[in-house]
Amino acid sequence: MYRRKKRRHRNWKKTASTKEASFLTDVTVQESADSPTPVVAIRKKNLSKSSLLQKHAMDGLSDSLNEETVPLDEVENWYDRDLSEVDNYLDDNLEAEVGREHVPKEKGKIQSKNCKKPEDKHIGRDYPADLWYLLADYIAPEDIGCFSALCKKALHATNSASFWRKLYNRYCKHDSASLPNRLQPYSIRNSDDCIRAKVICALYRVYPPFQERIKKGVRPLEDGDSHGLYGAVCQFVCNVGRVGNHYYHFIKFRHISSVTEQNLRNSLVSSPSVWRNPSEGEILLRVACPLFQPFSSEHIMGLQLASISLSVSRDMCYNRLRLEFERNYDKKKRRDPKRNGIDMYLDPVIHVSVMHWWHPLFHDSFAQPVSSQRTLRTQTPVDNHWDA
Amino acid sequence: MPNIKLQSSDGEVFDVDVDVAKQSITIKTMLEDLGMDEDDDEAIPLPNVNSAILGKVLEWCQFHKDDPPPPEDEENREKRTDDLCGFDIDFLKVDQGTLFELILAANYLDIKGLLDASCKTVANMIKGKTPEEIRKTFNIKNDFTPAEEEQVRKENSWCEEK
Repeated sequence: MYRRKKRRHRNWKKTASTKEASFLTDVTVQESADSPTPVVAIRKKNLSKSSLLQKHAMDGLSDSLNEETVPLDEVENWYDRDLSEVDNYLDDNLEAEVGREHVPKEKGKIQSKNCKKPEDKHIGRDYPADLWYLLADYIAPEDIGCFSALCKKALHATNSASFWRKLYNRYCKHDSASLPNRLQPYSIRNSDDCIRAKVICALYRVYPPFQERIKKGVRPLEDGDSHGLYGAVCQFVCNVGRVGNHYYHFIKFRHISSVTEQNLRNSLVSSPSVWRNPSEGEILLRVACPLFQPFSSEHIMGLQLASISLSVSRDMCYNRLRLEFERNYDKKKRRDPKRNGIDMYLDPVIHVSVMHWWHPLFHDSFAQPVSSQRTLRTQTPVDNHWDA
Repeated sequence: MPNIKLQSSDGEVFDVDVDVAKQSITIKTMLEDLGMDEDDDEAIPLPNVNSAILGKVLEWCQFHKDDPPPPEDEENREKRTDDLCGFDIDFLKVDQGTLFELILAANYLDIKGLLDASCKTVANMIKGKTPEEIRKTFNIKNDFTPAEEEQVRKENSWCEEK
């Protein structure tokens, strides 16, 4: 490296007649780039940027000449300077030119592979808040999630009580007779508290596209944690008894938000009362069995669900449900087979399904006191759903 | 038919039929409340609308000048987005920037029909797309941090088909 530098210096000295003239007329990166003995340091970085390098080299050199007021004789000869100075200058300007996020470089360190390329990060325009408020009124209920995830202003447009009230008036009010008391128009009209959750629940009862989802039946249990059940705390266990042809057990779980999650939520939500939802993070597991199987809840209450699986029952006719509970479940940590947990089995099981807080049956299941199983049994529409 | 003059934000003056211009409730109110005379040579300034957008707005108003007034209680009705007329569909086949400018102009000028049509067009374009796809289509800046984006997704899990 050192030898090459020296040789290049000698070539330069041969062609330059005076320092001034050579600086203004002879020095081009083009010449260096095309010279038979290319400079390694420049060539390395020059492969894909030759035209930009030319431009910036000339701009940079002429700028420095224009700015400096000291006599040219006193200016340090460019060939006496370290080539890394030129490299750094060119690289800095090139980065600014292509709009890449500036990452401070340290000599001898390789740039992180995770450094985003410009095409990875879409910049986009910041549209006025008015636009999002106007558009919000035209968004279909099933597109609200996508709409509010576009940008903060779009999210704020869906944060207000008036947005949810208008949504209710548009899609639920005409069919309010079929809604329970807590979702009736007067309840929506009179209070902002929990209005978002109420309107979502009402939509799942009367809005046709959401009704279609419900009609498909409650979602059966699938392998893995596609339901987001793992880590949820067991809060409630209820043995309903016989409903229709099956005996039902309900196990209610709840995801407890961390302080960080709560802070993040508070920072995003401008109207906490509108977004308040006592059922937030709650998931109901409904287990249908052909026989009554009493199981005790005292051992699993307050424990976190670590695994759930279905296998063939002992009589080979039904399923066997296995629920594994742990005290301090951590999704990120690999599970220890010798962990101190509790396993719970239900065998035989016909069907296991998962219901979130917005599902009509989620609230209907507990609309009546748990002990009054007879009342539940007489609710024909619910019975029909349950056997679905 | 008497004409009035409308001046865009960039100074261009449009000579427009009064009935066409009066589809804008903002202009209609100006004419009625502020006592601006239809025969007045003075142009009505519209500082929030540039000439390109004002030209488009007036083109829409010209086509729809004989339309009946929109119903009063539309806010409480379900907003169908599949009822756009053929002219509106073709008229709104513009780039995303123009479409958003038209929405803002229609809001400022208070032209319910144009606001409806342009918002419905955007709502239709949003359907079935992911937030990232929509951002790219409409050149929207994503100002969420990854953690915020994940939190918003969690909050809206009720929208996802489960």
